[in-house]
Amino acid sequence: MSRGLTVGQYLPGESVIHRLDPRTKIAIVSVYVLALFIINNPWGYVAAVVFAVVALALSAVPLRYMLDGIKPILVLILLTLTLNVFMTPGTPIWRFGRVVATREGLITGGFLAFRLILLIAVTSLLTLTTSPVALTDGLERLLKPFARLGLPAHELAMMMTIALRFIPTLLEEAEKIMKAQMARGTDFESGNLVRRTKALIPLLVPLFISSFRRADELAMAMEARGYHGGAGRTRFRQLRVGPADYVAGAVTAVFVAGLVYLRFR
Amino acid sequence: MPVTVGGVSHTYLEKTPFEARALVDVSLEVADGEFVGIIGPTGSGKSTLIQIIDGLIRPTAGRVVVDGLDLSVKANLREVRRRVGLIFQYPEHQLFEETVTADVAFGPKNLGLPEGEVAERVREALRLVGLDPDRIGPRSPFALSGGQMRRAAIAGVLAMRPRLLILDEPAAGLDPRGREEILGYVRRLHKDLRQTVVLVSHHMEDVARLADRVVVMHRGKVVMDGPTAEVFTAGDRLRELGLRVPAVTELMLRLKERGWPLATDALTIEEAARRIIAAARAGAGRSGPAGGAPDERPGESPTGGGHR
Amino acid sequence: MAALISTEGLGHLYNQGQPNEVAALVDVDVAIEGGEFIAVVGPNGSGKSTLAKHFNALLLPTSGRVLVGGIDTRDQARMWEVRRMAGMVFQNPDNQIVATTVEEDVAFGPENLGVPPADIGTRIEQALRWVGMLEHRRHAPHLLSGGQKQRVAIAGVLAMKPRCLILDEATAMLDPVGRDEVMATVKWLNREEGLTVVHITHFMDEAAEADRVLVMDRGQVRFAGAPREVFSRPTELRQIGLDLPAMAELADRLRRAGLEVPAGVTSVEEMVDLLCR
Repeated sequence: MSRGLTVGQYLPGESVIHRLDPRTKIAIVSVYVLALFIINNPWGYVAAVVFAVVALALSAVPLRYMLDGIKPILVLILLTLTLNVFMTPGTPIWRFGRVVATREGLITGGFLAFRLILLIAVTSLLTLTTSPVALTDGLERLLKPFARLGLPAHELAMMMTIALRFIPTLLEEAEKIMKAQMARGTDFESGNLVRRTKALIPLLVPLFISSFRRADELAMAMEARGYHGGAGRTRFRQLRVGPADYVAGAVTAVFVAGLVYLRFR
Repeated sequence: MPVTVGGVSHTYLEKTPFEARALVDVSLEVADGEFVGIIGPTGSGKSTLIQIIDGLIRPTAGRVVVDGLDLSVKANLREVRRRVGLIFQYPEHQLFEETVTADVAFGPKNLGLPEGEVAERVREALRLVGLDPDRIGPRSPFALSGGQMRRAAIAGVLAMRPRLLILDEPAAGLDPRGREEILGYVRRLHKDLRQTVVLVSHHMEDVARLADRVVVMHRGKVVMDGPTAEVFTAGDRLRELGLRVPAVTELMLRLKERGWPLATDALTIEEAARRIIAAARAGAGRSGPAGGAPDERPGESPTGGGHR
Repeated sequence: MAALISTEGLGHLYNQGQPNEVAALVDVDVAIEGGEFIAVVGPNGSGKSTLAKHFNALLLPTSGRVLVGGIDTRDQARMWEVRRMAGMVFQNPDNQIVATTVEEDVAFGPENLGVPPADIGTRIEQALRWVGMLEHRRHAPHLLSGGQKQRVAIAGVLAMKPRCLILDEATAMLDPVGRDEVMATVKWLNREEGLTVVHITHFMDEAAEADRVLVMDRGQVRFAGAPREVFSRPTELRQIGLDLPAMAELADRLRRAGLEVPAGVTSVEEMVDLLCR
């Protein structure tokens, strides 16, 4: 049953971080992620960790939610680490037959893994503290200046909103059709890959047909409610940049300046 | 085909914050050749129950035996699904083949039947729902009218020759004629072919007309279970459960309250009319027959005044 | 006073000029006064939905014309005015909610109209209060019941401050509780706020609650009138493929047996009173 399912991993709250303008948060996270790549010494990492920990503490999001975000890419992190440890030439620290682990490898690998962890942690903090609606809104408005260059900012945001709105509906529908076909004797669970793939046809065809029908009906409903694209449209939800946003921006600026100093001093 | 549901409970997403108890200690028997109606407000567990009987959901507690097959044995699930035909709401949403014939053949093919037998069953199933196998069979299911699509989808399940047919709101969304047609075919399956039927519906009038027995569910429990007339004449109890009483029954109950000597267990408009006319002629209301040629005489009706 | 919505010789052909041309509406003349509650009944394919879609310019006539608040719906420049005046709620509750929260969805219409943000908030609040969904304003639509979703859809239309609400089989997919919710909401809006309602439905007991019923068959309005008049024509209704509300059906049988019952009775209360007179 997919009723409990939520899209994204938004954790409603009233913290300072929650209340920041989504544009501020998206901008800060983007800058942070870029800044991670200029770090080349341990002090830089310390600063980055402090930044992330402070943000986490201010958001009042329990640590385990952030860790849950990292879990899915744990394999990737370990793989990066291992590859680096064994593939980087340098001072051997451990030997197993022809396989050699190097000190340099451990350091580069460790930093790289660390970078990935911080990257995921901070982006998941963004999605944990920003509702999908606010996120799309923020993106739409950040991208608006590029509309003049032909970037369909409004359309992209509208697509995202509709996708978010319909994912749960389509999942429910998929489950329903799957059950209906199982009741007609389809076996989705056994057999080899070819058989299993073939078994998906009775699920996918009806799902496509119904998605098209939905799209059609939704388009008509939107038209009936006066939708005619982004031009001349107002928005109910107003984004306002407040003092907290300026503080957050300033802190981020100092942080980045510090990293730049550490790197190029 | 006997179905025994014994002390079945089901909880969705058990041990998560979204935990939802759908069924609580439900016991129920369906005997061969019965027509059982299941009613209850949305969320009362009807849908979970029928999916459990078809082996699509495994209950978190209790025992279900369908046609002698215990559903707690995983190896039995497939066989149970073959013997039980479950028709979900809006079954036309599961159509997917290029022709009606191919779609109806999907179920029997999954049963591993030889081609000749499949073809024969497809024709039979289409006829059972009033679709001409030669005329409608080769057409795309998506080119049919709403009512025809619905019937084609139902044929897809009938072609598996289920021993128990479960229908969830089979007439939903159809116009009055489409509704009558579908329910007419269901009634004939039961009457002429002795098909065991379980009908889940919100439409009290339909259940009252069709079912021999009615099971009422409320918040995951079976709260009433008895002959149709008995359940529907318990007007206050049904209202308490948030259910509607069929208009006809409501009328009979009210008339009785006002002193009409009537048996209140009329389930159809025909029956109610017959009783009111008989009572009026016997001088119950002052508005006795005002002459003219009455079309309907009580003696003429096959079922008389008694309940079926 | 001119009618709020009127059609003059309205005809609509689907696939005009092609071999699969279908006449969905043939020479339809209807006039709907402001404040009326009209039910439109008819079998599938009788043209009910096609007619409704002409009331807010989702479809344009292929012959004749449609006037909404005095505006010809073919007037491209004023099409959005027509859509604002005549709001529409559709059959499938899932396929008309656009946004991921209730209030964002209700905001959709006013946003399209370019209403200033501050006013949108007020409109959302009022619309959601009218349909009794204010406490759900921040909920995700997919977690609501069918009846609740349709009420949100109605609120979405109300927030555009329409003069007419068109329900295109909006109760068809609901359970009895949901249907009651929607009917109660719509009747209240009609009575208290003077909103014109056009309700297209297959349920005769819903039609029985309207001021006037239009009976459609094969693209034409066969007859129209107060529910009592319409439901006292059982033979014609059955011929068209429609049924009667249970009490009207019973009244018909009782009359045929010679009992003194007026035709077209639709409520149990009335029937009890009549029989116990």
